[in-house]
Amino acid sequence: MKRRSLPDLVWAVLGIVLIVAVWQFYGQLTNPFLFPSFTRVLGQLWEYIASGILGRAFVETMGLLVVGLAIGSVVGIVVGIVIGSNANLSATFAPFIQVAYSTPRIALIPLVMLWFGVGFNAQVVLVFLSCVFEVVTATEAGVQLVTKQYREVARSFRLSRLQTFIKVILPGSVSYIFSGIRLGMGSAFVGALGAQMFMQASGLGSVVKHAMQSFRTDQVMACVITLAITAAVLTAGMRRAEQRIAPWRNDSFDD
Amino acid sequence: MAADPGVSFVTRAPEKQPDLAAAPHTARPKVWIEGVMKSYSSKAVDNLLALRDVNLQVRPGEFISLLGPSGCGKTTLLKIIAGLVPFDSGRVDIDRDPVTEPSSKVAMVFQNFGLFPWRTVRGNVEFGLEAAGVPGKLRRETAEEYINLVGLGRFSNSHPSQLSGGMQQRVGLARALAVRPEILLMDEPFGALDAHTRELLQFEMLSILQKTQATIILVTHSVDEALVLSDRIAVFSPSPGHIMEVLDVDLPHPRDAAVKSLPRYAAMRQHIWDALRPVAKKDDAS
Ligand SMILES: Nc1ncnc2c1ncn2[C@@H]1O[C@H](COP(=O)(O)OP(=O)(O)OP(=O)(O)O)[C@@H](O)[C@H]1O
Ligand SMILES: [Mg+2]
Repeated sequence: MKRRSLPDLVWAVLGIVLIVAVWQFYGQLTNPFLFPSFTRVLGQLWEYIASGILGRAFVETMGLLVVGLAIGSVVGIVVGIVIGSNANLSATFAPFIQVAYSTPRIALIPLVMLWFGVGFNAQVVLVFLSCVFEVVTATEAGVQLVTKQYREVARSFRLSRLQTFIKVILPGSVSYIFSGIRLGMGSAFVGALGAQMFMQASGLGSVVKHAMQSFRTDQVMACVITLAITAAVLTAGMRRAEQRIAPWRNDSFDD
Repeated sequence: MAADPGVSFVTRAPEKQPDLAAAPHTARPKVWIEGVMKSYSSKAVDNLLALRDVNLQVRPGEFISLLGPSGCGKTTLLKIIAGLVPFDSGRVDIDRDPVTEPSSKVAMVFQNFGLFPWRTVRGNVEFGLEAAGVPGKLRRETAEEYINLVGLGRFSNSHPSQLSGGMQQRVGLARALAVRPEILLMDEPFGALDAHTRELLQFEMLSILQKTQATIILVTHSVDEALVLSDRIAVFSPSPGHIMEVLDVDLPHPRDAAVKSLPRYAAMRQHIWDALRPVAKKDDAS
């Protein structure tokens, strides 16, 4: 593993260099209004950072993301455990959760606005809805899997139901729960941006929206780069946390 | 044929099969299984008969193997003794008490080890003791004692994923022994291991188990494994499972790989294969 990581990194850097080179080359040939060059976008990014616009927007978006994801995780874990522990409940809610899980939650924006308004709380509701089903699904799957795997071990050592839950189900499901939160974080990010673009303008969503409305392609691209890096860093961080918590699990819930 | 297989290997001594009513406490079987019937109902099949009138008396301190073809109900019987699976009719007693739930006298070693990957070796071995409410210090000491017994002293703080299959199964054995069971149940404990590890661990387990007084019930479908390890072998018919005969394995102790070259071993092996053969034919016909 250690031996492979260096060449992999070299290849990744090569890939980035190649893409940036092509981008720069094409950007200089074509109309910068439609397709700004890499250096131009970089310049805009720097302007955003220097003016403090990006920093403020970033904090706002992360605040929304964290609050929504935290509530979504707590509710998702509790619901996932309850449903995962009871086959009848699981069967009852499976269709609903599956449909909700595969629906783009962005489509709920009009309803959320109708019921909760456009302010921060309404935005939290959207972020919550964006991530909660991921957490529920992963937690439920984890609880069911661990139960199936260890039910007889726990029973043969005469554990009570509570002991089984605390000593077996919970520790066994933690890594699945984490995978669910990681997946949920991705959707929560989309939800947060959507909320900030289409509900009350704020955070990175409003910066993107503003750039778009003023036809500043370079600004839009600078925003996209920021979002891409943020999402990549967040996901990588969650993956590392997962590996810390469950180093024996090299499979992953989703991929 | 090397020796006349005949009936001479079948349990010969009637005094070793005491009648529950007549025998005094000393000769009482550890596990008394009589007329046990068990059928499963699942979505696929309704009322599939898994065990048909199973009778067996397990003697205190003996090592008995349940041997039979795949699907004959060996695991089912073991789980019934463990109190994990209910049965339809008949009786199963441990020391005269009917089995209704998992007993504190019984511990089980699982085929796929059933270890907890999030716990260290010591944590795994302490598991049963925690459930029994053994206080921290004593629990630790007991766990260390059994980890040393199975020869894993250096690996107390390792996680199962860092161990080989054979080592993992020794953790499984230590975990079961740590609760000091009177009866140890093992469902194909070597089944998930490669042939070489399997053979090594069989003899190692034998010497480990000699240090305990536990009565041992082992499920296997390997004739050699049953012969090498057991004092007696209960041979099952194919499904629905029924114990066709119970053999005394009168091979010398302590056993090592050399027993396999004894003429007696070859004769018993032949006898068991003959007992299982009509079974194989019936399987082919159906
Ligand atoms: N939970 C269950 N539900 C339905 N049928 C079952 C269940 N468990 C076992 N059976 C059936 O009961 C029969 C006996 O199964 P069992 O697992 O006891 O056999 P076995 O002798 O242990 O086989 P193997 O050597 O393959 O492990 C089989 O036909 C099996 O399909
Ligand atoms: Mg079996």
